[in-house]
Amino acid sequence: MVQVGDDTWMIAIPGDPTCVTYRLQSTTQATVQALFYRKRDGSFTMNRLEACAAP
Amino acid sequence: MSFNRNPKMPPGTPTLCLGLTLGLSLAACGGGGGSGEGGGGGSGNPFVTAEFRANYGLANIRAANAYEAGWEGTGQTIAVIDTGVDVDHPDLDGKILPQSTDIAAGNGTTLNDTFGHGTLVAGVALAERNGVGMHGVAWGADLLAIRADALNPCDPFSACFQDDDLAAALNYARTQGARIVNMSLGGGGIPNANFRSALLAATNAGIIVVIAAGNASGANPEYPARFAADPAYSGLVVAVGAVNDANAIAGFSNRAGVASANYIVAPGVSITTTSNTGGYASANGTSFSAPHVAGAVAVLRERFPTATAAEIVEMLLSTARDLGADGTDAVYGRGLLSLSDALAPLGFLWVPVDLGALVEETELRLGAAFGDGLTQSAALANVLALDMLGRDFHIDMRGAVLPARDVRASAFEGAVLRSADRAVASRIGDFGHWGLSFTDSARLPATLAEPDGEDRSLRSWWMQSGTEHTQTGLYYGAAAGRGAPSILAPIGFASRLTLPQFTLAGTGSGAFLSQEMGKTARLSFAWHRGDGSDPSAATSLGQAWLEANVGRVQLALGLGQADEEASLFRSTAAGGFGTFASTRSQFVTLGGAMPITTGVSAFASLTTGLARPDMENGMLSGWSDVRAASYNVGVRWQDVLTRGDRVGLAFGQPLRVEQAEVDVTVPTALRADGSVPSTTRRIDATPSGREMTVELAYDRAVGQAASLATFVSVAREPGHDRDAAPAAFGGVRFSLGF
Repeated sequence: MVQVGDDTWMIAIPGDPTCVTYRLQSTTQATVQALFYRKRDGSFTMNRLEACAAP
Repeated sequence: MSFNRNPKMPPGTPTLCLGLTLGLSLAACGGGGGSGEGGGGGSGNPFVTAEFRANYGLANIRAANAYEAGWEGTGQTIAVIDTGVDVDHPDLDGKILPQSTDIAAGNGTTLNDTFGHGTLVAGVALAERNGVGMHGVAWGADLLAIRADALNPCDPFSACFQDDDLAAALNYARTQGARIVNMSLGGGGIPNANFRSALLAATNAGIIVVIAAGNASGANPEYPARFAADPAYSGLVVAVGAVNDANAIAGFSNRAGVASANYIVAPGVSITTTSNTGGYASANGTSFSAPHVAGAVAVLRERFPTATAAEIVEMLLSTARDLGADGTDAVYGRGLLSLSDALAPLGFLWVPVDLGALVEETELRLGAAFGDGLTQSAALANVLALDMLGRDFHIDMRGAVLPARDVRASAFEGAVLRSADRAVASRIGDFGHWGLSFTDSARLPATLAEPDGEDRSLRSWWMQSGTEHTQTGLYYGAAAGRGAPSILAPIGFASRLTLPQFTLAGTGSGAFLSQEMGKTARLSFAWHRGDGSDPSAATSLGQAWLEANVGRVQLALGLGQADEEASLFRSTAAGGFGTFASTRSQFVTLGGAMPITTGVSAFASLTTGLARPDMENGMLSGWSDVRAASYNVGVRWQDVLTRGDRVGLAFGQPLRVEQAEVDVTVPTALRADGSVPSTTRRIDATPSGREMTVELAYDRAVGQAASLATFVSVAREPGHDRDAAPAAFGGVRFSLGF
């Protein structure tokens, strides 16, 4: 679980161990319902190809 | 002029006859083939391009059929409440409505999508089809982009939404006239009252709100998608889960759960779509399932502009492809979005003419005399029909006009496959004779290739009596035609060419009376009443004959009348075509025969018929007088191969409608007020071709108690169908008496 805002976290979900996938969660706010991937610089992206090699 | 049916059997002798008839088709008839509708997402569809294939989701939701039919969401607006949109993306810049806005502008943001999510979502829904990259489901629709994400308290690298901003976004979409809203967002618990009020106002205004189900693998959709289960929103909130390219539920997707009745799945794994860099990206999540559905809603709204929001949602949900457990289930809900199925007729189709009639019950079965008439009428090529939701479809009803059955079958009309006769006959002193016979037989099936399985057994009896000058007869369970002049007797097995009026009547009972008038003339009367076993057959047939010998020439003049209860020359109609009222037709037959030389005679006959039909309650009305004709000429030889045998050669045309017109009234459109206008055209109902037939027949006795008969017939344009290939057929009949 990675906190990315005052009330938002990136939560890893089961899946490809070579390309960890996250969903965004907040306890009080609605969030976008996309999945995220972590880039080398630690930031998150919705574009899998930016973070991981093509499957 | 003898009416003895078997002149080889001495009168007064009890007889038992066994008959066997074998019909053989020597060559196949060419028939007109039916035409089926095209459509499909396969390689034959011109919309299945590289741009289409870039997002496999389009194929999985069967979108190509919609595009091929001309529906792509043109004129529709999809409001996307999200993180804004890349205003410069070439696939989106031409369709962003000027009313697009940043509803939460107080956060210091603009419409331009810095986060990227809104651009990804909008692309799935409606990215332009321009031969580059990918295109959206409703590539003809416009975008009302409403940015609603909040920087505070959210980190700038993530995006979240405050309930009050979402409420404002919904209200804005409603006041801007949007009828479709996509919200690829969720979580954070139950939204506040302000949001719920705005959602209620939207659905009360007839807006369909499509919401992502969530990515938490939960058993139920997250809020606000969970409102799909709340009847307060009139069923206009649709929750969307995600499936992968194999149409299996994605592990991350929230399931249908309590919202299964208003939950549908769409592709949400590895979806290629527009990114805020001006290019394309591969994205995952129920965020990208929802816009597949929003785009489909736009296409349906374009196709069915008069449908209500509830009807649009019903189309969507009831036509989804069932996945998982049968029916609606807690994982896939209603199933996988299927745009082509949502566009197809739902339930029954009916033709809104007069009292209305189901399409599947609408047919016009033509009698042989009509050949292929009306089967290619352009007036029937585009008929408005309505499905169970009252949606309009235009269908080709030419296939509902069925030409007469295989002409080979009519050649054996009334012929028997096998029969066993029991007969007794006796003289009455020197005064006269009488005879009585019973026959158990089986008629040939309607088509030789595919017997219809119907019980075609017959039990008939025939009683005949007579003196030197007078003949009378009664029969039951037999075909019409008894008592006809011998010079008009067919050389084949049936009366197609010589006595076509008898082909209108099926089996039944009847009587005849024949009286000599002096030494050179005879007057006969025959009456036949159908047994009702064939609804297309005449209910009664009356015939009068005057035969005369004029020198060496034998002449026959016949006047006849046939009554059909609900048919016209054995054509029947049902459903949207209406039904035939009782029809009376009159026939005149003129025939003659004359010897040419010893054992050789020539013969000819001409029959014309006239009917004045009427039809009720359907698309067909206003029939003209219907005139039909049949004729033949031929030669007979006797004692050709052996004493007593006969050879006949005939050339002629079976009964053909020569003149007939009818009004065809078809519904043409569905107006916004629900009314249905129609147009009427007067069309020619005569067949396209003219069957001409050559028949060669031979019969002879075999020994003392048997007989053999055979015939071969070749027909050009069989069934009066100009495009039919020539047909050849024949038969053999063997009868054995004991």
